[in-house]
Order: sequence, then C-alpha cells, then structure tokens
Amino acid sequence: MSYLSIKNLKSKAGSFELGDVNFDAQKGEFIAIVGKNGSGKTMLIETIAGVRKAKGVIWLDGKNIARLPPEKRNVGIVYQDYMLFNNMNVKKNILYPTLFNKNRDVYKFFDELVEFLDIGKILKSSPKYLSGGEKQKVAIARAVINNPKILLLDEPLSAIDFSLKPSFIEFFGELHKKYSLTILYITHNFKEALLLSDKTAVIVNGQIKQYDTTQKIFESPKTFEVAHFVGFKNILSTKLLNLQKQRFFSINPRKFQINPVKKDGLVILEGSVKNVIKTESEYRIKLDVEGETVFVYSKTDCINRGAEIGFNLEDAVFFD
Amino acid sequence: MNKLFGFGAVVLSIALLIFLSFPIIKILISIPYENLMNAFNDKSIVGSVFLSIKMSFFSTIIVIICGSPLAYLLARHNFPGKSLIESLIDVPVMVPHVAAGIALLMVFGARGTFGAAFKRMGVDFLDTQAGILIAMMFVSAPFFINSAKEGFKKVDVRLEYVSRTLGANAVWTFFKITLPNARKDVINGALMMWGRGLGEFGAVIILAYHPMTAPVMIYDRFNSYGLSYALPVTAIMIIISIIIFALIRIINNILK
Repeated sequence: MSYLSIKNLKSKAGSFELGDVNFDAQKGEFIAIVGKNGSGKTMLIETIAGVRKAKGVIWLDGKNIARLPPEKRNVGIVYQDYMLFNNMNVKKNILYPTLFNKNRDVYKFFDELVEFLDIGKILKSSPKYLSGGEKQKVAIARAVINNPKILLLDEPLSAIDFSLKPSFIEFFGELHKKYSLTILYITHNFKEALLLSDKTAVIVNGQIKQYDTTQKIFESPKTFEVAHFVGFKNILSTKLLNLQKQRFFSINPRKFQINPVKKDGLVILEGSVKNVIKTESEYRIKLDVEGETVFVYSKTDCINRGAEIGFNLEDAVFFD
Repeated sequence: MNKLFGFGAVVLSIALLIFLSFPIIKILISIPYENLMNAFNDKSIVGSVFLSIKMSFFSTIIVIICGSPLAYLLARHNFPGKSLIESLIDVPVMVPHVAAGIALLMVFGARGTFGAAFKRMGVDFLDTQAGILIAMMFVSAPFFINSAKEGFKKVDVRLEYVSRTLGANAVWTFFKITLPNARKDVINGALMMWGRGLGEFGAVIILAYHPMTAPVMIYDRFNSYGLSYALPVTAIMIIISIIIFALIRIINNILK
C-alpha cells in the first residue's frame, strides 16, 4: 500500500464541492497540487489536515486518519500567509508543538533547523515585525519540528517578493531532500510544480482532472482544462484536421513552418494574419484559421496576409 | 472645503467631549476637600462603593466564564436560530432596566420559577448580594458577549487550524491562541460590562434595595437628604471607577 492513499475524499463548503478525490503518494515524494484560484486546492489540504469535515478514506503510513482529529494526524500545514502566532515570539512559535509532544531530541533538532533556515537572529522577535521570507521560514520550522508525516504547503511563494522566488524554490528543494519530507505543495503556477515536484495533480472545480508524473502532465495533458492550465498555446479543435478521435489538439507555436512545401505527414492550414509583434528574438504572429486563433513564433516575418502554415502531425498533442 | 471639514470635525468633537466630561468634572470640583475626606472615612459610603465594585466584579467573572464559550460559538459557527440568540442577548440593553428588574423578580423572586428552587437550597435573591449579582449580570452581560464575539471573529480561524495540526486540542487552542489574540476585545468587553454593572440602578433597586450599592445610596441620600448628601458618594464612586478603568486600560496597552 502507498504511504499516502486518498480514496473518495469529498467535502463541501456552501455550494462548492470537492468531489471524489483519489490519489496515492509514496514516502518522500514531492507532490504538487496545481489549479486556479478557487479550484479547491486549499480545501483539499485542509481536509487532509482534518480541519475541514470530509467523507472518504485517508490512509497515511498504514493508518486511516480520516476520522482522527487534526492533533492526532501528525500532518503539518503552512498557509500562504504563514499564520504565525502574534502572541508569542519566534522561538515560542517554533517550539509550540513541543508543548503537546514531548521529545527529548527536540532542542537538538530546533538548533539544527534554526541553523539550516538561518533564523537565529530573529528568535526573540515578534512575528509582526518579520519580512515575508522570514515569516515563511518560521512557519516552516514550526511545522517541521513536529516531524510531520506529510507537510502541506499552501501556495508558499505567493506572498514572497518576486526577486526572492528562485532562491525559495531552491530552498524548498533542499528542505525536501534534507529532511526526507513527503510534501503536498499547492500552487497555481505550473512552473513551480515543474521545478520542484515528482508528481502533479491538476485540480479544476474541485475535481482532480489528471494525476501523473509532472513531466507526463506537461508533455501529454489528458484534457482541455489541464492543457490550458499547464500553459499550452494553440489549443485547437480537431475539426481543423478532420479528425474525430479526440476533441482538441495543441501545437507548439515554434513548431510551425511558414509557407511550407507540401510533403507526407505535414498538415497545412490556411489562415489570415491578424497581427505581428516583434520581440527581441522572434516574431509572434497571430492568425485566424477557420475562426480559431493560432499563434506562430518565427524567426522571420515573411508571411502574406493570406498565409499557409504547416506542422508535422507527430508534433501535435491530442486530448479531450 | 477640506479645511472647513477638519475645523467642523474638531469643533463638534470638542463640543461632545465637553458635554461628556463637564458634569463629571463639575461634581468633582463642587465638593469641598474636607467633605470628600469625610466621605472617604464614612464606612457606609465606602462600603456601598466597594459592594458595587465587588458585585459587579463577580458578575463579570461569571459572565466571562459562561459568556466566552457563547461568544466563541456565535463568532465561529452558523446555525439555525443564531440571529434569534443574538437578538436575545441584546434585549437587556434595550429594555428599561426597571423592567428588567421586574422580569428578574418574576423569575428569581421567592415564588418565581427559579427563585423557589434556589430558596430551598438556601439562596435568596431578594435584598441580598445574590440579588445584586444577578441584576448586574442580566443588564450588563451583553456588553461582554458582544465585544468578545467581535474579538473572536477577528482571530483568523486558520490560526486555530494550524494550532490543531501542531498537536493542540480544541481547548488548548482556545486558551493558547484564540483567547490571547482576542484579548484586547475580551478585556474591553469585560471592562465595559464591569463599568455598566457598577452603575446599575434600575434592576438592582427592584431586587435589592439593601444592602445598598453606591447608585442606590446616591438615590436614597438624594431623595431623603438632598443634593449635598448625595454628592460625596457620587464623587467617590466616580474617582474609584476612573482609577480602576485607567489602570486596566494602561495594563492592557502595555501588554499589547
């Protein structure tokens, strides 16, 4: 059995429903849960943490924790706005779990964490006066000191200054490796998932639309929503190709040829140019092909208003 | 236009502050120093003031213990009948306090619904400290409950979620996280309730004319002997109340 196995997990908040979530994770895996704002990502991790009522089964390390109160689940959660306790200083925040779980080695681990996170200078400060990055590290230290079986990170980079994001992405990678953590990482940015995670679950309107290795999701999305979410350009109807098997296909804008020479396996589309934008390295051409918008990125802008563009069928990705 | 608005706001504010503070100042400066000192040495006056302080303090403590869970439930949960309960809590603020006293008499009087049962247990509410206590509790509890409720609402529920995932049960979370973070509103609510109870007259006089609380003594002396006899009690009541209020507010601000 998997280390984490979620079966038929359901929850409801007003009219929004988190529906029938199923997925597994192995110990030490970094799982990204990606989806737009309001898609149910936070709700999902809150049901796993036990702070939100839910139906279903959550096997964690051989035990069904679905009926246990949050304090008995040993699941750590870090919210995007940190949720530090302002009535305590940083040190007391981090050591808060030790009030309830006595562990002789905790102070040794505390010192190690403080050094790893480089937060020694702020231990006596009030959380109110810390920067976003410092708050993030304190919230992580507080969750990790408890040795959680899973660490749930809710959009940890959303409130971090843009210039610091790359170093924080690196930091999460190091944190994951150093403490062999099993992490569920929520984000609406697929690039973060691509950089950090082993597997990704794409969630749309409370439903997991695809769960697979991150690479596979990026290369071959199964649905329109997933393709759209992972940033595919040129999501077009297969009617353009006179194919009925799947409903949509996508082509990388850089895989098009302008004014192509006809040959086997080459699909040729006729369209009219709507506009051309010159960037530093290429021309970005927007065309209308039978009412659909197609983007072509090309080194040349030698294209007529009524133009032919072509691509190899094997470069197309198909999905429903 | 902006200057005119600013000037108008300052003038109106000053006018209201004068209206609120001048009668108090007038009382304090109208009493000769000697009379004030004599009043401080008059055991019946000091006794009535401390009786008011004591009973209002105990009624506040009881409402803090019972009202905090109620305020928390109202702040955190939606349930059928919640609006009705919130309206019920506000009723004592709206009804004339003499009417509240009469209502309490119907329930806690010797032949009242609860009064008879309490009497069998040896607790009488007529002309006793217990009567003063419930009269003060009834009319001033809404001040604490409403303020604590607003305080609990301001504490992000996710702080409680995090606390729970870190190993604290619901009770620990309430005392270690929710209550300390709502402290300002809880203390303000308790202060408002205590202050309101301290000055309660209408409900108290119906249930317990004796032993005399300070407001009842002020009324009694004013009615029986005139203004000059009522003034020292009033002044002492005001001075002690201001000192206690100021002290608690200073402590609260230091702790903040």
